[in-house]
Amino acid sequence: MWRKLIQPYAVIITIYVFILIWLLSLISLNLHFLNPFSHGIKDYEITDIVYSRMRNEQIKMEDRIVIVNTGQPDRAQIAQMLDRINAAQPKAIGLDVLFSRRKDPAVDSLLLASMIKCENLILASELENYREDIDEFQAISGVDSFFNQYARTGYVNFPSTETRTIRYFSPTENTAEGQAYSFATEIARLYDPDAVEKLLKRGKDLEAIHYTSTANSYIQFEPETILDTTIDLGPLLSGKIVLMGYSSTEGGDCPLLDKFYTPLNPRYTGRTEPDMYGIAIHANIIQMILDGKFINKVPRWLSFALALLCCYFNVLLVDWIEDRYPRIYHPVTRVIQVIELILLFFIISLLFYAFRVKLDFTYGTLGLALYYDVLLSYESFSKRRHQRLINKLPRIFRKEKSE
Amino acid sequence: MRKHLFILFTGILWSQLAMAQADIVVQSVTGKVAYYAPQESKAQNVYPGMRLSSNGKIRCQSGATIKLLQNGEIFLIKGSKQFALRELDQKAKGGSNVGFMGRFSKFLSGSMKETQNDKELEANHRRYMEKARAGIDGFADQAFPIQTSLLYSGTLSTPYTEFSWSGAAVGEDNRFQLKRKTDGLVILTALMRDTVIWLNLAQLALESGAAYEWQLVDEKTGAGKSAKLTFVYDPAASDKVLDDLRSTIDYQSADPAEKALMEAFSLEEAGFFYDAALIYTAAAKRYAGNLLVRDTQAAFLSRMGLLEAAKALIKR
Repeated sequence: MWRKLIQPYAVIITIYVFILIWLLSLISLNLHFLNPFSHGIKDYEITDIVYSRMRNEQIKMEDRIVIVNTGQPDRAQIAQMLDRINAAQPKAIGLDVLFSRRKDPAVDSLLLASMIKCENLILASELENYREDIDEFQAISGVDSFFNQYARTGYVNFPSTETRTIRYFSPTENTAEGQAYSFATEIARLYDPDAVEKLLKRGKDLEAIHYTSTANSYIQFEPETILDTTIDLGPLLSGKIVLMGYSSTEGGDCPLLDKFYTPLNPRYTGRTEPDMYGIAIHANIIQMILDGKFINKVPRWLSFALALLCCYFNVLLVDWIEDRYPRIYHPVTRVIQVIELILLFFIISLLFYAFRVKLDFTYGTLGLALYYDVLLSYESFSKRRHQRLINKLPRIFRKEKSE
Repeated sequence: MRKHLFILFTGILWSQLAMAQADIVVQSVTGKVAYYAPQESKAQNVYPGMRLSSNGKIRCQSGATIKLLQNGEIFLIKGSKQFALRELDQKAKGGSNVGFMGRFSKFLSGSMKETQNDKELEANHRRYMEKARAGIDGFADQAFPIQTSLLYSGTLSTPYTEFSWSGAAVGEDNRFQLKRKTDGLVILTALMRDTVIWLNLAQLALESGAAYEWQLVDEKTGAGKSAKLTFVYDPAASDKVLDDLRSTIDYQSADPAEKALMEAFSLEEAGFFYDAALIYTAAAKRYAGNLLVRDTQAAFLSRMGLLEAAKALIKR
């Protein structure tokens, strides 16, 4: 049994396949058509298809989080809204509006007075001036000292690509003023400190966001409804997380303001229209932290080992088919290749969908696509008598060993 | 035994029915939306998080929208017509209960079907025609030589309606065209020398609730000389709005001039601009000298795009 499985010939083909992949990956010019192996893979993930096309689109209402659209209001209106929301006794209020400068002293004082009344308010801030050598941000900005002395702040920066696709978030960052927490992490800390403890114990610099909801999964209030004193907000907001930010339910004047691309975008490649407001991204992160449903990545070494094994066993399989069915060897092998690629895609999708396990099987996929051609090249190469190098190898490294 | 089976069967059937008629949750509301609970004539204001019975009805005021969640699906409702919530079942797309395997195979086969030949590819492009539009929404096109007013858009409820316009050159003939919006069927066409035409809508073959558009076109070239205005014909709808208003305590306690203004405002809010204009005109006649009536009417006219008429009213 083991003798059949351990074939030096298959080993050498596998090695050739991976040498070829390595050579191809060296091409690092910024030419998309020549460079599908580095740039393309960085900009697009296979799991985007799972989010975009294979997720269950049935909407489940998330009861713990409520979104309040602030529109583009003046500070006086935000103060009024804060008063109304705070009176309804939510467990945490996140205000995703940057107050980077002081404006009208009277209105600012009014807003500050409303903020002081909220014991569970988190304000948005920004991290600036990253120094790579010491892995530290030099400044926290976006919120004037007039406001931030009475409320905790959380940064709203997201690690993203140049296309503003938000896949990851950073739970904490080092700053010149000490450790800072992200906006979502701070809010989750107020609601459920144990859940945040669990997140931080994972010790990851960046966490992949497990998107479970679109903005439609959250109850969403417009400013008029919040300010309508005939509505008792108590039963609607009490004990919940209230996220205040720009989240227009219609096109509005600024439909693209604070809107980003996410893997939920119906177009998983070449995205043209941002699909999610920043406030809904924060809501998804909070939901992920509270549920403890994080995305786990298969270690790189394991992915590579699986890719090697996959390629190796395919070479063995092809070898067996050639011995058994020499006449239909070529078409059968090609069909198997296609079926295997679909099966591989299915397994990767299922792992991610059902178990939130992200398997980066790029090398395995490339191996599957290339092994047969490498094998054919190797065979034809070794059959030419003047190719002394291969002919010098022991017989077991040649195809003729099975004859 | 049979009796037990019958009870069991009835029980299962009842529970299935109960499950199917799940509550409807309001996900978001913009503007004012009224909810009529089953067997209750008094309307309640709708707010997010509220649960509505599937036997109830809702009505969005002009420009208001509401998103409702039922059985894991979101429905966007707009338009000032009363909407029975049980109709959501008909609107439901269904099919979203397909499992992961179903979605996987749909993904694999979907793109193949859409592009397997030229015809399918073209059909696939046509499917997206409504989504891709190069242009922005707007009302008046200043390039048109003839100006119309928003008064003749929204919902027209009064049978005997005056359609008027301005900007036509003296002595020039223009063709007035009234068409059904869905298929372009010409309902009425008339060559006009005047800038006003009185129509008895009840005499025309108009369907209640259907959308129609009218426009003035050049007699020789057929090119549009005014913007196309769309209206919905619904003969009894404005009475319903007024009946709802008249049953409120605020209305009953108001004085006659205020009542007229409340009626006009409610009609405007519900999209009955022409009916609102008639009430303003009647109120202006009856309460001549009442500055509140005058100013409110002027504000209304300016909202309808009749700024010059509004200015004239204020100067008077």
